[in-house]
Amino acid sequence: MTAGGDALPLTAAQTGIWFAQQLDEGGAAFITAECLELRGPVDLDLLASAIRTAVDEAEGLHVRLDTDGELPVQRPHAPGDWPLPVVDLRDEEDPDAAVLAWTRSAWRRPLDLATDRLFDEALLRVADDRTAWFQRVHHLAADAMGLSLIARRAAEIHSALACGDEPPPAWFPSLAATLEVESAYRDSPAAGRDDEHWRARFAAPPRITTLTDRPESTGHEVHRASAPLDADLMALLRDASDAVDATWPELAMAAVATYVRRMATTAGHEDDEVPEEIVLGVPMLARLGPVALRSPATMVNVLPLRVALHGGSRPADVVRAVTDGMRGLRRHQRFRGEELRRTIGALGGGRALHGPMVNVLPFDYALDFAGVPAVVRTLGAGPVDDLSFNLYDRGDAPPRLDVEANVGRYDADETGLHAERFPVVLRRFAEAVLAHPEPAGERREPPAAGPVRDTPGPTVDGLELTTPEELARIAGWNATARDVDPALTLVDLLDRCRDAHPDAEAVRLGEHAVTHAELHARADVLATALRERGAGPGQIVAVAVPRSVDLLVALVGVLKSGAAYLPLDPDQPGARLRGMLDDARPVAVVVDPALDDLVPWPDALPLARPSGDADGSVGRATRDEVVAGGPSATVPAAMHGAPPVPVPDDAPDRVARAGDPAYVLYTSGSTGRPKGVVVPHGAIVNRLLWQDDAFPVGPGDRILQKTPVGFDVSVWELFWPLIAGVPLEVAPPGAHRDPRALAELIAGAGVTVCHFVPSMLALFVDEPAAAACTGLRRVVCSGEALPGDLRDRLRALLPGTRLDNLYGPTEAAVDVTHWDCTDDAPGTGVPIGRPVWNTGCHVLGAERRPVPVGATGELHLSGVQLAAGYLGRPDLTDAAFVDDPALGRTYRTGDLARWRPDGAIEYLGRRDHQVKIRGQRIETGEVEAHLTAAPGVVQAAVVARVDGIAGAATTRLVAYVVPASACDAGALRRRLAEALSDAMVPAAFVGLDALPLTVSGKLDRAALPAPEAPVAPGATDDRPPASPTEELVAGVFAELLGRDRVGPDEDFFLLGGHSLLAAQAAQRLRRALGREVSIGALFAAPTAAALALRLEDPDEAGALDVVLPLRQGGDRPPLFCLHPAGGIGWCYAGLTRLLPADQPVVALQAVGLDGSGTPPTTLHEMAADHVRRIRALQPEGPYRLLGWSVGGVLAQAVAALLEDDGADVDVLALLDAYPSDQWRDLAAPEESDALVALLNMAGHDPARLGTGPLTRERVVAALRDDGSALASLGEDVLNAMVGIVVRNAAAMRTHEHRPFHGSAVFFAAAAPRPEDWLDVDGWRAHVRGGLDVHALPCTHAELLRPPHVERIAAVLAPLLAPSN
Amino acid sequence: MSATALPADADELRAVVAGLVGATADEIADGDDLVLDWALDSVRAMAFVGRLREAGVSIDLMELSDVPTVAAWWRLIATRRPAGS
Repeated sequence: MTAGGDALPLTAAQTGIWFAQQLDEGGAAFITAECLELRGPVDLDLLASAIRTAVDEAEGLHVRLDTDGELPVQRPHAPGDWPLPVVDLRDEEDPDAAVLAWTRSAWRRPLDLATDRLFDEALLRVADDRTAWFQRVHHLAADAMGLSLIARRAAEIHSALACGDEPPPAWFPSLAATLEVESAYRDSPAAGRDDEHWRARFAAPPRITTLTDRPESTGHEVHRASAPLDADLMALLRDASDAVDATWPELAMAAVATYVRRMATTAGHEDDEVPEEIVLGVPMLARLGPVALRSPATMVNVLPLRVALHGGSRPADVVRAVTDGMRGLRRHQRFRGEELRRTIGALGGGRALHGPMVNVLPFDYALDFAGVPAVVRTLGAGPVDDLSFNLYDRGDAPPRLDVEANVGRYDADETGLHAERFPVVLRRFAEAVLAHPEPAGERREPPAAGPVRDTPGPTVDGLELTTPEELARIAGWNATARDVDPALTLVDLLDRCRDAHPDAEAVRLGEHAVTHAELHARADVLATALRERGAGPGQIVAVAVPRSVDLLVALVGVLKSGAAYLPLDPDQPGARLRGMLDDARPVAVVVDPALDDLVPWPDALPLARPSGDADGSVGRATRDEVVAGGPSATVPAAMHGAPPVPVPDDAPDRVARAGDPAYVLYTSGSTGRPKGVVVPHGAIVNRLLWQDDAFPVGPGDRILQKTPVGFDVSVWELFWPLIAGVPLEVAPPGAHRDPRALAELIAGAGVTVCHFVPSMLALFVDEPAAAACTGLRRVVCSGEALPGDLRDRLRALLPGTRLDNLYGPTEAAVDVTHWDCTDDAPGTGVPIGRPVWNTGCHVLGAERRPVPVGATGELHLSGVQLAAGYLGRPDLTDAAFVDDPALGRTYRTGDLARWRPDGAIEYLGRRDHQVKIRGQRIETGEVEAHLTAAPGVVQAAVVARVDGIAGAATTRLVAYVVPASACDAGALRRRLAEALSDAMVPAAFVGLDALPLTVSGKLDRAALPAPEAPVAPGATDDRPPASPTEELVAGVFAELLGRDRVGPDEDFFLLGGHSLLAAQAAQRLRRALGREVSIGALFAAPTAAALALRLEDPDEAGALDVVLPLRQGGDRPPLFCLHPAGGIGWCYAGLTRLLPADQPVVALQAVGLDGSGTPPTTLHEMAADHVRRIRALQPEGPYRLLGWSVGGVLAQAVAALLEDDGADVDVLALLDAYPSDQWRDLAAPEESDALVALLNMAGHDPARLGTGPLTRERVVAALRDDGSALASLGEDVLNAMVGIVVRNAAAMRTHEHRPFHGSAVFFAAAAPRPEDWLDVDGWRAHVRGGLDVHALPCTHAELLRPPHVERIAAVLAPLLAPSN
Repeated sequence: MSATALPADADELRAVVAGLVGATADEIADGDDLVLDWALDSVRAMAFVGRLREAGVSIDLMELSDVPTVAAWWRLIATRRPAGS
């Protein structure tokens, strides 16, 4: 390849492309191509010759790209002899298809800018009288217009040669001339005017609206989808544009702007603001003047067109806005778009200059190759960052639309949908323009009242976006009709199952199991008793029974009585449950004696026991005073098509019918009161029968019931097994919170199917015991969005377990959509799936019209599973359950969703402020209502925030309170905990002077501050931890709660901990201590002090014993850590946590700390003493030793003794310890030295105490302020320690080292220090095997603290690995 | 300009051009750049080329675009018009 001559700079256009290509290596998106078809006989040699001449004349094609320093340059060279192959496709079966395939492939062949030619040419023989001329060129050398100029020149030469004439002289300007045009412009006053224009135009930075929410990518590959633009559409476009004095490209641009705005705003969060402007990218030819007009070089300039667009605008107005805007653009089109990006600061900040591009290519071709006409087809017009609508009307070729979409931001499917849809919308737009071309000011709107004779035509918002094809497709996705007997009730299904398998195991908890026959028999007894108390169809019976076999008896019993059950979850606060009872006014309650005190029961509420005993009532009245339970609150009208539920009539023996309520569950209400959802039998029957079909179960299966009974997931857990004839395993109360207990139950009991809310599944997957659950055939998830990586982690852990994702509100009988994750590619998201039987899913936008596939809408549901309504709340019922003329009775979920092209639905969030916390549905308004009602609170707002806590993104509720005086978070928290469920109590409280508001007076959520890690209340009065275990537990609490520290007497749950965090705490403590830590222990002892006490076995070592295990468990040889000067080994607790979980750690402390024993006086004696203890704990080597400070000296001494004994020491770690020789000549230590050593031991830098005498009092105070466990030691111990320090210091000076022949790893505290004579090399005489030295940038005191201790742990971990 | 008749003089041309750019004839000076000063677009320019062709004058878009002024366009038309028109 020719080297090239003098370097020329690149044009602005070339520079932009060059830089973009650097980021997108190998991208073929920068190659423009076209195919010209000559329809008639041609002399191929003549044609080839003409092409060669024309191409040779285009200097810009024959350059070598290079860099001069950092900047790119181009070096022109002689054209040389480039290939012009002639490819014969005449014998192909389908030559046209062959041409298409050949040109596509040739166009996309990779091009290496460093070595390859920038263009390729070829001739293709299609038929005897048809020849195709293929050209491709890198965008750096020419643009689409440039290719057409080359074609024009070739035609001119060819026509002349064919006549035997001399071709006209060459007219392509030189590369230099082209560059000159650009520099002349830059130096001209016009450039200054253009710059001012653009700055003014973009003084207010635009908000870019586009059709993807995926971020900009460096790649430029595109998906391409085509659609024809038929002749009458083109005629319509011309007529319509004429009517408004516009050109048809301008009308098309207006249609694109409208389409983009509409597609991007079909539905959204109620706080979202609809954009009032769309910014399109318009590629301008920018060829002004004779040179630019004739140069093949790349000149195309993409500039932004800001189109003001309001929902109420008429299409004709939008066209006028475009024509006005384009005038401004044209006048200033020489100003480069690349420059504009830099000017308005958008470059590199990921801020685009414009949204989708509109590229209209109506080049005037009229090419003539010696009388043979030519038809052009452009194959690729250049790179696309986002989306481009390319409209081609090139004379003889049929007009078409190409939609090109950046592959990093759009899928192929959705690109195809845009291409399918836009021509339809374009037509509707043009028709609307033609129907009402008059400008806004002149329009006569029809009179407000009276019949509308002259329909004004659609506005921008009124334009229909869906195509008939996609509406048909959506209808197909909703064709879910399945034959289910509409008269069936849940009781029918239960009875049938009992009849089929009376003696099969129905329910089991632990050792206690019952058969179907037994269960039904007991339920029948209860049902009879309940009927006597007034239960029957349309009535409600509350159930307060802990999770047990009796719970099933109670629920089935209530159902058999004909009534609906209202479950009272024992974990909910009594006040909340009482509220539900007051609202629902049940006719009776079934209460397990253990829960007699659960609720302040309403007076005279008749009670029954699960056994059927119905003597007496709860509440104050006695049986004799009981008045037969009054009628339940009116149940609202039943589902669409079914007869309304009758007010309880005089025939209580009537059995429940399909339209009668089966259960009532309460959900959070946005104004403060929970609302009761009434679900009829027919609804839940459909749901259960669908599940039984979708998840086949049979002999060998066992289904787990663990979800608290107040959540509707429990409904299928409870009843599906009882209708399928498969045993139900009931988890003991509380087990649902403990992933380890669950794993053990699942594996131990042989559970094959169970449910998890995703946040709990995440904990389960992290739980080591879960790996044993290989018998689990299926996991069902619902309640929260299921992240793709959680699915992938479950698959990795349990490859034989299927995963299904379900979605649905309580108002639609538990779940309405389903997705089977089995074939999901790893890393992809999980949709909520497809509708279940007899259910319709409708993604609707404004005015309840369906939105196009891929656009966001609000999800509305229809079908058999809809609830009857909200108990006693006709206003709420009417608002949520709407009779739609087209869809029948629907329920609006408030969820945002969209259809995928494959018919699955994706969940996109909420319209409002309802949130899910750990799977529980919460209206933030309900929490706000309770807060505002609290004394001392003027205003309150509750939002769900996602913050990073303990290394993970966590969603939690945060309360912002404007208090009357001061905000007492503790009191507020306690108050809320008494009234609201666990998940509804905010995790953090922030006091504000005022709530921030937006311009429109609404709460400005974005302006709410992040909650700070709060200081523990009364932290200065709180005592420091009293033992290493306490310190460790408090540390784990602090980490999980996102706080700096937690005092040992602070209650984990009051500080914002909840059950999920408790499970994580238990897991972490288990790993850190190597000891059993159950969640139950945490609930029973929720402070660090209490829990540490519980965890410390009275028979085990006390904190001051010589042998102090820091971590037990694990099968490796323990790491023995020798105490530093003060004699205490607690300093190693932090390091212990960072070492692998199966690495036991034992600290060896000084004799005499607790006042007992005779302390040895020489280091040698101490070392020998420790050797005896070590050998007692671990009789055989290899031995692993570590010591900090004096502990290091001791460790070396111990190592030497063990070696003498013939034992193997394979790890000796010295932490900033220096041999005795280096201390020998110092003066004997005084008490102040001992105190300094004490401070150092505690990791407290003595320098922080400043000048002034060091006294024991000052030192102890400093330690206490630091929260060190040392400060809690009594006077005696501190005295003993000071004595130990003095003794150790003396012992150090007299010690003579014995040599150790192994090696050691040494950690030096390399920060500058006063003792500058300390030198690690001093060890070499005593550690003969060599030293591996690691220097850390910290002081001696900081070595065992984060972050430096992490480095030490990282170095040690591989050394401690099980020996080879 | 009617379908087949050419403008008879520069002023008539000016009136036609004014129509193309949405201005009045007296606003457009002979030497005004029709693109940079009057935002003439290529679609309308192409339509104008088409009408010229129908009236018997062959000027291509490139030539019109070289010097997009009323004065230059008039010179082109005057030299290319068929005899007798």
